[in-house]
Amino acid sequence: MSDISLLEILELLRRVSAQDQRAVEKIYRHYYGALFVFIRLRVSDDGAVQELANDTFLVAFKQPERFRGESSFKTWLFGIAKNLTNNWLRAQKTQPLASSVSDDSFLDAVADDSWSVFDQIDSKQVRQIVHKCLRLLPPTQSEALYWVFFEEESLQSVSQRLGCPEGTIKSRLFHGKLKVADCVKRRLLGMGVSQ
Amino acid sequence: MMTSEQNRFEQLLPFYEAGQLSVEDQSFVKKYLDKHLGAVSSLAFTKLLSAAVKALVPDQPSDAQVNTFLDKWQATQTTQATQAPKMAQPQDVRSWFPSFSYPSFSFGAIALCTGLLWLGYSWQVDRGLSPTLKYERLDGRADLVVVLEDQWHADSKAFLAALGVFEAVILNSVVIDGKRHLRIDCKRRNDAPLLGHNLLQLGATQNFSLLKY
Repeated sequence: MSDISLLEILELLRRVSAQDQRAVEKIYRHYYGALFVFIRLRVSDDGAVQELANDTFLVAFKQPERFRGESSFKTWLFGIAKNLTNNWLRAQKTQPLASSVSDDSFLDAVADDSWSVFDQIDSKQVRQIVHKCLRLLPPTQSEALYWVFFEEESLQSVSQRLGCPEGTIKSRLFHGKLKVADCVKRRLLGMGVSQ
Repeated sequence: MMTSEQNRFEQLLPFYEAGQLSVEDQSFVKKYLDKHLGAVSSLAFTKLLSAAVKALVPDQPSDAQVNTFLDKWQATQTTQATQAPKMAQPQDVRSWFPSFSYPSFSFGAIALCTGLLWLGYSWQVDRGLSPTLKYERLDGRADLVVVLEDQWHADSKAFLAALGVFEAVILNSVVIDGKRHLRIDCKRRNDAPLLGHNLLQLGATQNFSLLKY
């Protein structure tokens, strides 16, 4: 989904400050879907995701002047979402699980033909497991996965957006993938699917 | 152990899947996949992960959902408006002094106010600014600095009109390396980025920077 131009978003926020409901609605409709996915990567309950997305918009619209065009609006909005989600998860006492997998053991697994374990159950079921496992990632890794896989942004763009070197982004993606793979594999084995 | 080639392949895979690789990197990944049959499973898992992330997207919010949100937003607006900040009740300073000192205290206060007014007026006259130039709620602090294009003048009608849209005023003007820099105060601080962009679009300025406090 293309982002609204900086000039347009600044004008919309000016109208939000002046309590223009149409401007509020336009921003809400435009960013809701992406924001939902961003939060959904870390929160399983759809109701809570919806609440967190709405709260994010309310915080943004309370003081729209805090956005000064120094980053993209999406980055700024998602920064608010990340903080609210962190607070919510802390309140729920949900901590991401530490991964026990090492790079080498994962690579052994993926390089092994027996990784075709996924073929034994339907793809919808695998996807559900992947979704559960994605929520166990630390925020930095799920954020990187979001910008690359959902928004399909380039490495350079994600690096600028998150304010960290390209090597860090690559590493976050790589380790995120390892953790999800490890988690999926363990859950499948737990379901009695053999390698 | 991972070889450096394997490491490079693994780190490039997510971008390969997203179609975000340079021609050189893309060719490297393709060659690696051709050479290492086992690497196909890693690509397959990357695709699965990507598809799973994409599958999280919800439908567009329904009208009912948007309306519920708008009601919530309206409610916060009302709350903000009704929750005027409570001022602490000032303690009566006269209670600190004995009653016979009241006349001298009042005289001192009047003298102080007169002095401050006189100082303020002198300062305005010295700077050659008319008090009417100041908008009611300008805070006198610059919100942005713009660098004027050579052929433009800060007192041209078009430039002043562009400022007028946001009720902004020029606080001061200096020439640095032959370029005129103007420090501008906007009536509403959040208008500063838009004003900066408008002046750029108008062709009046070369660039602008927002000032932080």
